[in-house]
Amino acid sequence: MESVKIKTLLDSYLEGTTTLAQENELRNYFASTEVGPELAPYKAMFGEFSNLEAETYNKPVVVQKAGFWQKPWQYGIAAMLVVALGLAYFMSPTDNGYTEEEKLAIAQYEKFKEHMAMISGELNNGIEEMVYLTEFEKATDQFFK
Amino acid sequence: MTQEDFVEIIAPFKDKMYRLAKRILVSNDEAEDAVQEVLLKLWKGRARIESYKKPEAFAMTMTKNYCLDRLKSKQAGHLTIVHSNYAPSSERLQDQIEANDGVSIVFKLMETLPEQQKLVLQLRDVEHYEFKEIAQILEMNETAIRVALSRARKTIRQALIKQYNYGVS
Repeated sequence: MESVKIKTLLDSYLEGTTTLAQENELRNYFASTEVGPELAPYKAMFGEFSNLEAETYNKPVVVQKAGFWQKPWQYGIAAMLVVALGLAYFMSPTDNGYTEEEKLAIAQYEKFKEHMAMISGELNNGIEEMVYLTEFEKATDQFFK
Repeated sequence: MTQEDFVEIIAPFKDKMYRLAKRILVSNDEAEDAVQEVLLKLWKGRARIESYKKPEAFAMTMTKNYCLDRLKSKQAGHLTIVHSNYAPSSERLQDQIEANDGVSIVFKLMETLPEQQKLVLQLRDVEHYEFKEIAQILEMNETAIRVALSRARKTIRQALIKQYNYGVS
């Protein structure tokens, strides 16, 4: 009795005319009953369909990435900021309006001035010592008239 | 709509999306990526999702379209359509033969079906959608779906009968 009903159901199943309820009935039948070789293909089919249905999507659903960084134009703003800051850094005059190169030149110049002053100081010392030479001349004058 | 609301809306059918994607793209990873992409798209259009009567059908249609596009696109050129998600082979050989005899054959047969039949079979026999819903998802009419379904079922049955006869005798 049961198997006759199943066979008619299977016929309409193959024609694609069974309802979901009828298909459910078939599924339950094949899940719980051992069947002869002529129905074995159906058992395999329904078995595999249930296997396939057991698969699940296990990845976490992530749709919102870290707040601000969702939209491309925000990347644009960030890129512009970086460029602007970079330009500002290179273009802006440093401390007292000199560039690195100028500062270096000034330092060199100061050093040179210092050296020059030292040389001139030493020279002055030398000239002071010359006073003794005049004394020497005075003394000799007395003898060689 | 917050992310939590969104997750709640998609929770009932995200597995179905994944299975549909996997049926089309075959590989686990590709299917996961596809689902993630579609979810992102849905999220971006979340203002509209509430106005749809059936977000599920809409999401499934999107998944189908996205995956088919993906399959056709150049990006997928390096994507081989071989299923490589091998189950662990730790069981006894005998058990395996018994289990495989039929069940995984059905899976392989499903893979060989034409795209449309495969999708109809997936949506009807695996996901148990009404014909009306399948028509909505696949953007086909119900008659065409019945025909495709009938062909798919018959093809698989025929192939299995052949297999069983050869196997037994």
